[in-house]
Amino acid sequence: MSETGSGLADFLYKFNFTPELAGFIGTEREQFLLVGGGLDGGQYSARAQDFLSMVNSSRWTCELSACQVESRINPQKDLSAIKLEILENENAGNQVAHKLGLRLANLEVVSRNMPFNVYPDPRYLEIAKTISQERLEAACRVAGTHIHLGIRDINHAIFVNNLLVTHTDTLCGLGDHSRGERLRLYKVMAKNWQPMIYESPEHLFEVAQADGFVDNPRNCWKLIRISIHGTVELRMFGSTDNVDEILEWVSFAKSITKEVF
Amino acid sequence: MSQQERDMLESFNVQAKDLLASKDRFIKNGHRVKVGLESELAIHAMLSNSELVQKRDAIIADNSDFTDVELGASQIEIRTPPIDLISNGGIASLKEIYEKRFASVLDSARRHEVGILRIGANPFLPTIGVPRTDKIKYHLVPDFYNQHRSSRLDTMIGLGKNRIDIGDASVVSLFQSFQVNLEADSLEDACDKMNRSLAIAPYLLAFSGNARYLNCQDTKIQDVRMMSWEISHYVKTFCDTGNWNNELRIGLPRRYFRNIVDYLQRAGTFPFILYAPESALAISIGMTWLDARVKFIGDSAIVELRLPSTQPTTEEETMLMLLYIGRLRYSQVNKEQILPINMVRENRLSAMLYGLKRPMWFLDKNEIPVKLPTKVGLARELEMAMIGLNGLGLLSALNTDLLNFMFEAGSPSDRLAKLLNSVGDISVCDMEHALLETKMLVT
Repeated sequence: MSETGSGLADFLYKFNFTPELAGFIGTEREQFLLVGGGLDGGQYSARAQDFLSMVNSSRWTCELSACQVESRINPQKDLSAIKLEILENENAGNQVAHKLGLRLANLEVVSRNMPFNVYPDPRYLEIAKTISQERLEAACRVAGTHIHLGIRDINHAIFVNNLLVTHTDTLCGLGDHSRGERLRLYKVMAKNWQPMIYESPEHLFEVAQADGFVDNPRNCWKLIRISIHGTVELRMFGSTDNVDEILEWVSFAKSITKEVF
Repeated sequence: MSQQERDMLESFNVQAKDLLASKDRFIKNGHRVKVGLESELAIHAMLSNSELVQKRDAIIADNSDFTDVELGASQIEIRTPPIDLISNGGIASLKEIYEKRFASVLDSARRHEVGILRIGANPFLPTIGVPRTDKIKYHLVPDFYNQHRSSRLDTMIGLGKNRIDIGDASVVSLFQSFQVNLEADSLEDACDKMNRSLAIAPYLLAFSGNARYLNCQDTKIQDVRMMSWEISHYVKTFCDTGNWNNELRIGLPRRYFRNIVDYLQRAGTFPFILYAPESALAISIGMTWLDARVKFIGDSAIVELRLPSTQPTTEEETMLMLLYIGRLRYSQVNKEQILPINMVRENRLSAMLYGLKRPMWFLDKNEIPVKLPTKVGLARELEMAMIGLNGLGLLSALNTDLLNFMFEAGSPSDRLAKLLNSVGDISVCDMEHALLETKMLVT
């Protein structure tokens, strides 16, 4: 096998497709931790570690900002089952936050006066070391909702990615509650944000080499990306208090791709 | 807003104001528990739609004092008069009337050679283009929702390999529910009872799910009735008043009601669809498809529990009614905290999807929300229901053998699934046999 061929195979090996989960949906919801409230709306609190330790669930994880946490759901096909999992996270998270004297807030963009503490996770600490303060601040100040579509294999992933990419603008508009500010900051943070149509796995590999995510596809920050979890991930949606709105986004993604599942 | 809608809203506001101005007429002495039952049934036979309608109408004509039509062309609603359960012989009288009326409908059905379905979702009819009763309101309302529902909405439901399309608002024609109507002592009491009922209802649903099969296919969902209603009627853009916004007519409100004014304000935010200004308030309340709602009939404010599906037997329905009355009584007498509504939202969906199989939120002894295995939490809920019934002198009316059976044998949906799980493609004949065995089809 040529060096390129071997490189391509190694690259594709990083994606864990699970054919039986094709068509299943996963969601990730980033939320800010706030302390206090009242008319000033509270202060951002860098207590993600305390929160995660108390919630003690694999459905919760850290983000780059120590003021944020993320909840995710088990893959589901049925809209009501997705809703239940999101509600379970919401109620469990709110209860833990309450016990810590905190609250979880669905804020799409927050002001610059937040603490820019980075969560003490080796990957995030490494990222923080390598990016400018402007990019770090941009990354810390935004939160959103990511939707994953389960995929059979790499060719299927490319097909689904390409279908969705043609709807990027509509999807961005649908999930925007900050008049584009979240996406503006996202683009400051992620230089390779622009989703792309891939002609083939080889083309994806070439883009990965050029954009610097060939060794670690998690460093692909495109608003629509093929993720290592064997999904196509939509990263453009903002934050909402309304679970049904998340389901509307899921529905739209499903409607675009319904012919291939 | 069209002129007709403006007329309706104006009339609604006048009628709501009149109702509130005469609130004293709803005050009762507080020493009675007046309950009426309603249950929706469906007829079944291998006949054409028009033949089914003829049979249905004939059965209703035979029992016109206590039956009525519903949206579905094969549905019959059966009702009892309101009876004070704690009056001398009250509960026995309600049971007797309810059973007699069902028996009478069944006799008519037999004469007309059709069976009676006692199930939350009719598994024999299609989910799209379900035959409706030929009345103007039964055309206008579902058509409105079909027209306004987002075309992007995913309307396929099911937890297993069968995914069934419920993207037609007339899918509600397939669904039968069991409703408990409880007279309140005042408008304030009605609001309090309604809020508490919203929180209690998912516990009842967790062990009484009876709407699992659609199109003779297993959705693997314990009770598809209300979720199908919500999805097929998913139109949110109309309700936007600041006080209430982004609401569905169906299921749970975003928050508990502060008082009856608040309840009426919410009711008035939805599109009226039908035009009859003289009945604007009644139309609006009639289309308040919450799990529990307040209705106004004469001088009575009535809290109606609507979440449970029709049960396989009238005995099971009577048992659910008693548990509800007892649990509500306990909650009111002890001025219990009510579970935060977002936890109720989770409980409700959990009960619909998985019945007893997934943990639910309960209030612990200190009234702090705690998540427990549902069977564990329900044991305490039942205890509280029994304390409430005891306080009313109704505990002896509770059939504890039947209650134990329901927990041991599983929900009606579980019982049906036990018979059908081994069947690959379920035929009409397979379904009929399983329904007969579980008493969900009576011939």
